Amino acid sequence: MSEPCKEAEAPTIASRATGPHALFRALIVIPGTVNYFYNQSGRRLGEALRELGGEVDIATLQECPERDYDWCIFSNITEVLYAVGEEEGVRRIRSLAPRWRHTASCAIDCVRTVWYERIWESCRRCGIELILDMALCDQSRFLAADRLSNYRFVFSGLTPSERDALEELSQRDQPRTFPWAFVGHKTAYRAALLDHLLQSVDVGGFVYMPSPAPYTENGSPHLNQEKFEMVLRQTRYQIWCSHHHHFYMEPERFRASLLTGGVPVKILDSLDNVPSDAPFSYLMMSAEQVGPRLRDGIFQRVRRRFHSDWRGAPLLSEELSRVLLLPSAAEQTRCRAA
Amino acid sequence: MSAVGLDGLARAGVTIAIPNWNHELLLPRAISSALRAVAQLRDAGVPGEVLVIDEASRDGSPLLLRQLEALYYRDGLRVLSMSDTGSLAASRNLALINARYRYVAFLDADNELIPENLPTFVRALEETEAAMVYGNLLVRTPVSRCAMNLLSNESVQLKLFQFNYIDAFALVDRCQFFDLGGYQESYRALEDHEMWQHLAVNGRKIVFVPLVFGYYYVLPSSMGMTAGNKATETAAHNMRIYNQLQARSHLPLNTRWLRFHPALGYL
Repeated sequence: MSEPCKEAEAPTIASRATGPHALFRALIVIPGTVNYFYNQSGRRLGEALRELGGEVDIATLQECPERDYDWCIFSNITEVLYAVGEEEGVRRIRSLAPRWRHTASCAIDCVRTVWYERIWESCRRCGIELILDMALCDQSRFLAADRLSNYRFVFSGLTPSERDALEELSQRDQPRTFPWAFVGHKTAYRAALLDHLLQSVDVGGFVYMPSPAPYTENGSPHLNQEKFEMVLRQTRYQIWCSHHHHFYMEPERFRASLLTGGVPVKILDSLDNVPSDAPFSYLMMSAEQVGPRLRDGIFQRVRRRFHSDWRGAPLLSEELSRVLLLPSAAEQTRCRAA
Repeated sequence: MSAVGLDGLARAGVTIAIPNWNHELLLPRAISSALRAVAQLRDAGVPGEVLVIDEASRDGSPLLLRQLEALYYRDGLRVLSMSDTGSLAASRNLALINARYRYVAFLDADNELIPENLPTFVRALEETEAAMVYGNLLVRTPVSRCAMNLLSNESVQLKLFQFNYIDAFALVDRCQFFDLGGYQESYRALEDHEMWQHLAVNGRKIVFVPLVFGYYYVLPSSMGMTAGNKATETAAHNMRIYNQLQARSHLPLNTRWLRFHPALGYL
């Protein structure tokens, strides 16, 4: 099992792809039934890699083809192992790994939490070379020295379908029922924040804050992604705070608001923790700032700026090309022309 | 007490019912929020009233209520005075009998409605034809400036047959409550939990609306805090009635996971 590679030994462009146009071949391994969130993340990765000219397969670990790939990316490794069972998962990965030139796991977590640590540990156990932090802000500054070598920041930019959806959204708008929406597990801090929102912004906000508890019923009693997006399409401001106190920009929250025509607002304990290079800093604020800053008339202006900033941000495919040293879209075009 | 309300059992509109037992100091807040809610309803074209049921209070509530009724009768405030202190369940049934309108919002005298949101709950009750709709309650202590917890914050799930997480502070259809016999007046605790299970197993809908319905204040001496052993016995009694063989998870439940907002439909 290979050790995590260092920056100097970053993988080179592969040339094992088959087919007339494929420049490389990639396998995305998703958890399957366990976690919609990471299934979707895997599909996003696949779409971005296809934009780079790759031939991409997306499968669960049990079903993944026994073929040669230039890259195998897990979305994410701990969820994949949980879905099949830890020992069985490690055994299967070790049996397939010789057919994968390079491996990585994506992560969508704050690096100072136990969830990222579990990803790191699972990568070490399975011999996965890189951790792709699908984020909005580089978190390497928060990592200990011994956690840096396999960390790669990947700006979680838009895929082709998301860019199309954003353009279509810009051409049609609709009245929004909810001045704000707060969706997340109940905590004492969030209850206090909710009270503050009622008093300082508007009493008519959408509130879904179930108690955290293991669900023993079949199916889920809570909002799924489709329903959540239905709510966001009727909401001006999606407001949330992390369930921990580290600085972290939840990329899925930002993007969900973007693609449903709303504006995300992240509440922070302290603005002192916001890195100077963090994007969308105008959408992160303290609880005291929320009331004065969320007013009628400002929503349209803020949303225009938010959309403009996203359009100027790197695409997901560009970021993957940079980090995985894959052909860029421009190089792909040149190859085809040749 | 004559059952005058039964003549107009299905009359469109909302009665905000406030059972009161010795909450003189907190009544003005509850009544004020209720009267503002009635004003919001009237602006939305929905008739409304506030009905206070005083359970033979001794603390000065009766005098206060006579004065408030004289001041705010035209705004929809009515007071019924009981001669004896019965159970809270009995007070609620009395409210259901004497309400002028079909929909009844139960508001304890130590709590507070969010007036602006009540019309949305009324629409939700109409459109779902549920027996009851409820929403998030922000939990505060009397001296706190902000909430420290949430109640009534999830839809009906099987765990409702294990413990209660839905307060009586909700909006109900009294026609459906009468169909099923109203609250159990013999209960001195957990009468609301018994009612929810009774509604659920009889095929009625109990629907969660993802808005804030009101503020719930926790007082050291409130009924919920002092129920103690009585609540434990009653919980066991409820379990015997509604989930004796722990078979509830295998039986159909018409009201499972129901979340609704008029702008979105069912979620």
